[in-house]
Amino acid sequence: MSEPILSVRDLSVSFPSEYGTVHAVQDLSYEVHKGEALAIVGESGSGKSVSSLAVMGLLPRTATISGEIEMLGHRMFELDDKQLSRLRGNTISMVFQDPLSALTPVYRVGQQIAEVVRIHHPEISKARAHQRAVELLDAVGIPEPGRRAEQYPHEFSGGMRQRAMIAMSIANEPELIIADEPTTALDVTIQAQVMDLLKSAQELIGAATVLITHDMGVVAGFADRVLVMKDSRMVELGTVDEIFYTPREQYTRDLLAAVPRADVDGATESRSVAGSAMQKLAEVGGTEGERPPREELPTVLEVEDLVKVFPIIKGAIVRRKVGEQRAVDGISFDIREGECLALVGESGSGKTTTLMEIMQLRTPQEGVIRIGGKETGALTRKERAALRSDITVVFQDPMAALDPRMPIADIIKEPMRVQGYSKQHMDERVDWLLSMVGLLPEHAARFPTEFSGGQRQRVGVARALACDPKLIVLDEPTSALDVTVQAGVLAMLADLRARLGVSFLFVSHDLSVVRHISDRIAVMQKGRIVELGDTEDVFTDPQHPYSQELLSAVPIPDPEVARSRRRESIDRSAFEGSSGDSLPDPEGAQ
Amino acid sequence: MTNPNDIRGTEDASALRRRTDPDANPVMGATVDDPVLQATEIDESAGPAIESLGRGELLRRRFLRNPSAWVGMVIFLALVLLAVIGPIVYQYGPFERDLRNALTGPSAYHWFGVNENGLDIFARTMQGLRISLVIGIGTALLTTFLALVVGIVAGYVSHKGKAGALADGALVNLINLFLVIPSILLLMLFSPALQQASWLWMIPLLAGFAWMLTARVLRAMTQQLVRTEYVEAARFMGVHPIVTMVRHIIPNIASWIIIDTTLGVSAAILGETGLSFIGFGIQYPQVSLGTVLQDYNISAPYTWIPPAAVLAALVISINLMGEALRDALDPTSGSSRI
Repeated sequence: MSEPILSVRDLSVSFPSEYGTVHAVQDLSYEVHKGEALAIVGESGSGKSVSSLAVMGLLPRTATISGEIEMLGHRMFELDDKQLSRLRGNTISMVFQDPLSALTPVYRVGQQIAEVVRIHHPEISKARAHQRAVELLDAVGIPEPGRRAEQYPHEFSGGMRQRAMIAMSIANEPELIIADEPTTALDVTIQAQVMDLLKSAQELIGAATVLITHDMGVVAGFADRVLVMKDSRMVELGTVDEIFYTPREQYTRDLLAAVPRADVDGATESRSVAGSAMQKLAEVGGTEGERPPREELPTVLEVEDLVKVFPIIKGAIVRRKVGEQRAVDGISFDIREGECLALVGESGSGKTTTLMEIMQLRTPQEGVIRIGGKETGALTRKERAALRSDITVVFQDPMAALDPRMPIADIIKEPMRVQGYSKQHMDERVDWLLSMVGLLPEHAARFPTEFSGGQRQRVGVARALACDPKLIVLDEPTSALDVTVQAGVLAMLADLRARLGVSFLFVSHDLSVVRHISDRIAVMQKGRIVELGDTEDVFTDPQHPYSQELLSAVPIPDPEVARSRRRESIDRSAFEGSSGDSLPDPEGAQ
Repeated sequence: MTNPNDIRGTEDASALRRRTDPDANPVMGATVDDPVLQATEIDESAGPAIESLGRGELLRRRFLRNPSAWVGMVIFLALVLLAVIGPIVYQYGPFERDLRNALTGPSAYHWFGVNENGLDIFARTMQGLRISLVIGIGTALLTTFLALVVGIVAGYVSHKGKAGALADGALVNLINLFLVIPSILLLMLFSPALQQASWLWMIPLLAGFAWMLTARVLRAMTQQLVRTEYVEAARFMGVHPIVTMVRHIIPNIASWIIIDTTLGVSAAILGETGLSFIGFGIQYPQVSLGTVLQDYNISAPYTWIPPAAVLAALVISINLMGEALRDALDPTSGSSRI
């Protein structure tokens, strides 16, 4: 094997805090060779980002660092900031997680790329640098690169911005690209395109890549070698096939098994503790056979031709409508008792607007919403208040959904207090609800900050269950959680559904998550439901081209499958011509 | 510091600590998040659950780590004690004339000297300090109350449909109206008239012209909070709006309100002494630090240095405490470093 480009030896990073020293990275050693793709995988807080910031020399000055990082013969810790700046952007470059905040909003995209070129090669003229920027934008598959270079970041869609970031990172043909969760903020179809592009860019300039991610599916299609991290230490380092097919450590197995897979049925695939959670989920989900047929069950929620249009208004003094955004465009579905309907679509497809329209309990702009047979528009104030306990919501972000200033007992009691429960009844129910969602009754006096993300989401579910609802609306309940935690929360939800017979409306952008929990799937695109059917039918035989596209874009945590998929897509794009043409117009995405 | 969610210290640190030190805290964290559903078989005796620092505790530590907090508190407490005890033990009152010693410097009998009207400066300064402290603190509290009511109501209703937007617009225009009227002229007009009734009228008078900027900030912070998911959740549960405001919104902006009130005290004291100095604030038979300063004689420094020094010490000590509070609440400031 060739000489390593980057070698990290015994790296330890620690930060001082109110609680004593926090060790963010401990005794981490790895090497990256020329042209190689190394993936660093771990859950949040495992130290993967801190270790790469150390490589860039970007840690805050409070950090205590020991060990050695050697990059092409430079010892990084012996360089001062000026010398490091010469390396950054030229020899090492970085792609950040959030492409919106990584680009400066007040400069044109072309200028920002040209700037990277000019900083390291001041001899290049402005015009030449601009030309190079346009070439780079073309190389990363942005249509009309000349016009696009003159635009500002807010005129780009998320995927385009990340492409621009990649263009910037390859501008000076660096030896090493560090990509820190480059696709986490993107939709699944865009994610597939961006990962493809990153792979091609890496092959194009022969750079080594360090990919930091929590998503095993992304790793399978990209990396040559994988480093698994947990709790600031390295767990395992091996080639991608070794890690995926013959993992040595229990943690690696847990991590792999916890990944929900869109391509296999959960029951056949269980290798570990986390896997058995997914299996449990599949078992619970698999008991539907005993239930009476769907048509005989009472309807909990019925939505008919729901329309929500947002006017686009211009002018400060004289307001006039210049157009309209049809966020929800005539959708209809119904949910029966004890059923779980998954509403799947990418960002901007109108999923959240649909939820908000249902939760408002008001007359929609057009169409009808019926809850338990009652039309929401015809409710009196009193009926509406009573109905609030029948339909509850669990939000996406467990950090934002709980008031940080209230102990969780009060948080859970809040809906009951509104419905006028007695004090003793509430206390009893809080204990029962907490144990129902897998927490201890003793936790009731604590504040939300003392809990981890998964636990907070459990508190959110407990609050939603407080008044025996008929329907719980789940707005991406697991998208902010780590995979192993996500598996636990999903298993809990499936268990609750089986035990309490409550119906779910489960909104998600991730098809692999909904596979095991939902009975039926509604695929949304641009405010319309393009496909609605039983989960198995949609997965095995998707009818609408958009459903097919969504399914094929889900990353599969299996290197063999991922490689063969990639070969197929290369063959297809060679057949169809340049891949850039098939990109969606970003104006439409905005 | 306009973001009410600025404090992240507790949360981050407790999350990290949980991961760093698994032996000490085996109960929570990893166990409950275990993917296998385990309802109650967690061992209670295994050790204490994480006791992450409460927010108050964290604030107290950061506040007390700041030396300027100590300096401010010591000076402020000393001045308060002086204002309370001084007039009780001192032998002269603020209006007792000792014309024989008029315009003499500090002595064993007249600690700060006597001015040209034969009035004892120490006695007057202490009495003025009392009045100024009462007016400063009272005005700051009333200002905060007014700002809280207007700001939170305006911020809360601004999202509630057309009627809400109209009400919000009316309140914002009220704020703007108060900002553009020449408050100093109105204060000069009203304060002598209201003084006839009681010197305490200075408090509502000063507060009436000081709440606008705070109200604007509180409105913006409320608007931000109304969009958070936990307020949304409360709405979907059918919680009454006023309950939501009291239970969810005010506690989450309380830290900012406390800082603003603290700094408002010194602003109110400066406003009151300024008005008194030019003859429109506190009137006979009361004295404030401003009226003490008014009797200055430029050639006899002991007539104006003591009240000026007390006034400066008071304002500086309050500002030191306010700044230290702000630093303690701001995670990006230096006091979060150790």
